[in-house]
Amino acid sequence: MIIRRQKSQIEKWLLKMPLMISCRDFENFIIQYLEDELPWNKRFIINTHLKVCKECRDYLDAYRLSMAATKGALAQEELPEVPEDLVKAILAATQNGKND
Amino acid sequence: MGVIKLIDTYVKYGSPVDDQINIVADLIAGKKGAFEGIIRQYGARLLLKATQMLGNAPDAEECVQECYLQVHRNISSFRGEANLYSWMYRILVNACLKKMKARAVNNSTSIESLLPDFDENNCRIEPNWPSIPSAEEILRRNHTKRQVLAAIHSLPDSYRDILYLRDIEGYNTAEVAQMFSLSEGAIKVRLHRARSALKKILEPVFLEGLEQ
Repeated sequence: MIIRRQKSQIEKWLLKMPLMISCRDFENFIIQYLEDELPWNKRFIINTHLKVCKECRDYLDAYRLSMAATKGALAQEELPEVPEDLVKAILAATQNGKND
Repeated sequence: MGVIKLIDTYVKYGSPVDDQINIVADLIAGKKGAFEGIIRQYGARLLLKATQMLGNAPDAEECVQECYLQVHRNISSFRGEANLYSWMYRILVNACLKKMKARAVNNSTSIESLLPDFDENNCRIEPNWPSIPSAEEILRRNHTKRQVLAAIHSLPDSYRDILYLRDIEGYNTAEVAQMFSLSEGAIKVRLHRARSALKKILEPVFLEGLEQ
């Protein structure tokens, strides 16, 4: 907790330097950063922030991890059995449609 | 007439799948067993997709049924530029979005508490990560896959579906924006919030077993 507070104070001080942004500013650019939509100068600023901020580096890595884990978990889901009742209901509904 | 149109299309664009021309021709001609054939062939995949989008089996089954009814009604307008399954899948996505919009009134789950935390100096508050495991490592652990799936389903509908269509199904921002009648900027904001929320829900799962 004390280390966190000191780190926060250092970051506050760093923000007074040119090209430095806060973690909250970084947050607003994450999507564009990940999709490579930022111009080189903004990208440089984001990369500089990531070099000095372990929290944002960890955040970004865990953010990417959750995207990859989600994709992996959904891709590994087994195909369900189609309930026989559903098959019958669909066939019955299409027959009704024909008779209408 | 429908079959001739379909063959014309294939002559013009080429058949995307060899067997597909026969299946579609049988469907248009109303051949006995043809429709049941596509339920048996594609039903499980469509049901899985609908369940992943909607988060529960009854709504998913309803949308799959609606999808097949649309296919039955509109098969003669299928032009064959796309694979039959892709065409059906697009119909299913629309049915799921319609269902999701209808139940949005009752879905007031807030995502605010799942967004990143910052202190008074706008400095990020993040757990102490000794290391970041790989997705493969996470999914190899017992029960983790189930926890990841539960986390996805716990997101509010409008966030989960944007995340699902963008990150899993690979639609681009413009396509998703059109589906939701929202601006691309609004889709990006929701996508980022959905990813952030999912990350926060999954943090305890990811941190489990890592040496602190």
